[in-house]
Amino acid sequence: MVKFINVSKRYPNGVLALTNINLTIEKGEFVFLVGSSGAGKSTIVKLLLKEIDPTEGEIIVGEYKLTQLPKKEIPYYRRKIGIVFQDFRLLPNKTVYENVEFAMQITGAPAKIIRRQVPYVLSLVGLAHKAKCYPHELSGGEQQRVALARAIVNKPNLLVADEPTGNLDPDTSWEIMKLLEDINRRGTTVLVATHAKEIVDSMRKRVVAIDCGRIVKDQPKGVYSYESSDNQVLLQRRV
Amino acid sequence: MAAASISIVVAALTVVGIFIAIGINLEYISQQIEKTVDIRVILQKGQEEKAVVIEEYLRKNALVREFKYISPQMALQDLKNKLGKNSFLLEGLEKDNPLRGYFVVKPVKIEYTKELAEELESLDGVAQVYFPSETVDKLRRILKIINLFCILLILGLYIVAIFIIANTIKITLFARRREISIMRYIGATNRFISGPFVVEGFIIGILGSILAYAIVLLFYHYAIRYLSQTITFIDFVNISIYKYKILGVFILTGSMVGILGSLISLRRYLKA
Repeated sequence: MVKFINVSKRYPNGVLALTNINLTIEKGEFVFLVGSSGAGKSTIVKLLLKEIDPTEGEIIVGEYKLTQLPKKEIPYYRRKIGIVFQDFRLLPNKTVYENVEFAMQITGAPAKIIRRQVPYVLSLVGLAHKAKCYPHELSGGEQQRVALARAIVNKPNLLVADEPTGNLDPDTSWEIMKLLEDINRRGTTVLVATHAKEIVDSMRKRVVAIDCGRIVKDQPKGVYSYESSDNQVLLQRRV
Repeated sequence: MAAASISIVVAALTVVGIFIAIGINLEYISQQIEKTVDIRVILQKGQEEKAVVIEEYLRKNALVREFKYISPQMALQDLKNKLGKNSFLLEGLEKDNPLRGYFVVKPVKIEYTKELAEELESLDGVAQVYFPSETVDKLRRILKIINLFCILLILGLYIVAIFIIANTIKITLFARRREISIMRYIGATNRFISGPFVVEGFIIGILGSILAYAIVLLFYHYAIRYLSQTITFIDFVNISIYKYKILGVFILTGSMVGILGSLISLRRYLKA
């Protein structure tokens, strides 16, 4: 589903954000991308969104070779990916319903299908009753749920969440993670970039850890840590 | 904020409209002046038979656009008509008409006036030739230059209007850049995003042009009324016959200016 092949990224200002990233994510997986601030998580998300291009290497998402994707095609690629941001990024002048509807209007979906699909995803995230509210009338958790609804309304194969619980309290964070798990169970590949330690530790999904631009750990039912396994062995020996 | 930019567009287009009006009038006046330019060829007394020969000559002359012969009798009648009630003063003159026959000759182009006049002077039977001095020609030339200036000004103002709208749209784009970036993240094409902005530019253009049209029409109406009273010898163009055509032109150019303005800004902004 997603493949990073020898991907490196150096920003124009000289910062080397990623070095030699090799990562494969299969269809249907649930993957945590962990790392401290500045480690490279956001860069990976930006690369996936085709917001930036890698300095080296190739990125494959589904049937798209991102480095060869022409500019004109970028919007069409992005429609196939659901994206959820830390700051929700809802359109402030549109209601909950209109925000989700907008994502479908972009694709030129017929009104009949929109009228069925939008209420459906809104009820999936539990916000059908707030369809006519505006984002500023909702709590953080509710706004993020709308963002989730918007992200899945076009039935994407891949859902990318960049610090989805960053602005939320612990309880609401759990609600969001449960929703993500739900979405994943229905078949969508989910990638969550986060540094919410507790959540990662208790969910025991695949954990890919990044430190200083490199992948230092890739564990199937992992916990939140980004010391490389070598260091851990050393520490254990010391003790 | 849209009101501010519409006002500026209205101002610019009003000035455009005024200069168009000035331009049209200058052209019209220019043509009128051309029509009044003629050469009067006065025949010698008693030489009216020469008129036939001269007529033949005028018909063949390439510099002559048209000509007219006024016989002494016609001249007398003309004078009587002009005097109206006082025509009795001329009673009795039919037998001994002091007036002479003359030709009114119009040259093909005003530039040929002097040359033609000199030719006609040398004709047999011609007593005198009157033609307007060069000041008329100079006046015409000055009018032409002013007209050209008006056209340049009009073009310049249109460009100004386009840039005003482009700037307004630029500001709107900047104010809504967050929303635009969100739309791009979820996969909206540039065309989808720019649609509403083109419409906005279009509306500013149309509204501005309609208002400008109303102002210019009103202004022209009163200006012409005032000017016609003071400058009676010039006929000004009567705009009201073209009222709707001009409105159409205003709306067309206004909307084009609006669309062009927004497209310019959008192209720059969405290049990323």
